[in-house]
Amino acid sequence: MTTPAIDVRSLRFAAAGRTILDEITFHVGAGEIVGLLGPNGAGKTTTIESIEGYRVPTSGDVTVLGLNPLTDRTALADRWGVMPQEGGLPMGLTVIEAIELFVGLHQSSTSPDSLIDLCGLDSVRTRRWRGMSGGEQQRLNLALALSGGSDVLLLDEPTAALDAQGRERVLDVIRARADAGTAVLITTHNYADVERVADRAVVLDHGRVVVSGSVAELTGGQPHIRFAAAAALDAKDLSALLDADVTEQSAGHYQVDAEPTPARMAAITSWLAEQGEVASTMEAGRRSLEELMLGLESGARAPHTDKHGDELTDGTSS
Amino acid sequence: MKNRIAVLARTDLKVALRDGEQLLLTIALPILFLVFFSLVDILPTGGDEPVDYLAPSIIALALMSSSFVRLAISLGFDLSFGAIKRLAVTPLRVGEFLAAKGITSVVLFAGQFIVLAGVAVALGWRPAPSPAFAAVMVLGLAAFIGLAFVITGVVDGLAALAAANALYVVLLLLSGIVFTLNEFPGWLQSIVRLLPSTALAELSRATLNGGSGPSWAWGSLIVWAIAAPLIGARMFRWHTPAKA
Repeated sequence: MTTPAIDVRSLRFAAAGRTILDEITFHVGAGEIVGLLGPNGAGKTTTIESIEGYRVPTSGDVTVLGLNPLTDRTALADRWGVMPQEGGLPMGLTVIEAIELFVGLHQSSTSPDSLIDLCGLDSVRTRRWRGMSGGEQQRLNLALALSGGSDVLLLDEPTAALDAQGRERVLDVIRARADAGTAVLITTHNYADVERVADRAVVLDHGRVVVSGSVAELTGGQPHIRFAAAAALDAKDLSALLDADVTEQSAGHYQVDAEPTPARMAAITSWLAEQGEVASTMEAGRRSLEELMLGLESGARAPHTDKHGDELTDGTSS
Repeated sequence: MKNRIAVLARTDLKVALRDGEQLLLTIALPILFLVFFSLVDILPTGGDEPVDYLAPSIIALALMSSSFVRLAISLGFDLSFGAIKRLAVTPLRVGEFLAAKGITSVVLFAGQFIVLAGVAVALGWRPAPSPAFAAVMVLGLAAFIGLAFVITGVVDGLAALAAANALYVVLLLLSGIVFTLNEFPGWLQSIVRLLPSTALAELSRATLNGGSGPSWAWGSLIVWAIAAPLIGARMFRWHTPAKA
């Protein structure tokens, strides 16, 4: 079995008597984008900073390209690009000087101008980074991460503070890097970014992996039909008719957990007609990651990860 | 690798030369001291021309400002804003980082020295430097560059700015740079002789006037020049430790 580019096993991190990370396990393979998701305070940054070698785990193993980020920093530095969430730069540096500095330190053959073009920084190339907008700084941060090695990219909140156009550009750049073989780990609390660009997602909450799997599995695992009609209809009757779970999620808003086939949707319309009702709205869809998370937060049953953090199984969230 | 040292030192120099506050501290203030106290004869310098006493002292002061205060402030800012933390994930080695910062300080001091010496000569200073002067400057730079790393290792982030400035003023007043040591009571003289700034100023004055300086000053400066960089390098951190 080939060693994953990033391998995190049973990672624990405790500080000041508080457990920040509790048995985190997942991996990222070459050419793969994994999104590390979760609400604020879930442990995303602590996890990625443990991978970057900034933090010393309480227990567990972290390897990047088979190397220990705590002890093999210089060997890794030529092979990875890192975008810290709050990494600054020397105060007076301009955009082009910052990129030249990092390209120079990596002794990279990448041209600073190509990074300026790639990250859309041409209009601010001679501006000092401290005076730029949050989105511009973010694109500069990405350019600096891309100035390094191309085996692994570790990006902490790469789309924070970006407008829609900037977000699209950054996600395209990340996807292109993965397609060229780079293993990419991104942290974000923006579920849509992960759906848009990632191959797999690892969702953290309160320092634990609550669910992980491929984005297709996580978002496609529970197709549904939703409709709105009169409140307090007999959901059990409809459930028996459709042979699927039907729940009234709020007054007059129903969800059918089943594949939204034309036959099923027609059956719902007919059943409503028998009740003397009509659906004011009806939609067919699959669950978004955000809906999945809301479901987890409300204690709903959900798939979760196995001990390797890469397969979905049924069960309650841990 | 040498190239990385050059890359970082070049960037540092560019930033330093653009920074108005740093230029004020490293160039303008020492010149102001030199001109003011040379023209206004209020210092107790005995029968000597004030500039003869002041120029070597101000050169020592300039060395402290560029290699200690400027560097400590710059390191404090960079640590606070995560700039050094970010460098930790590049191939830059600790030794290369320290070397680049040292080179920047040395180059800036060389510029200061040329400007200050030129102004002092214009004010009537006629030095008679001995070869030992170069050794004094090398030892002084090593001691104060090392001290900048020590202070940023001891005091967190931006607090290092205040600490470095406060220490600078204390050293300026106590080290025989502006006031001669003879002005101080005996007990204080024996304490301030242990300070690196006292030794530096004493040796700067002696070696720029053709002498070799007292052995206590050489001993003190050599100890500081070895100990401070070693301790500073040992205390160096890429970032402020994460707090939970």
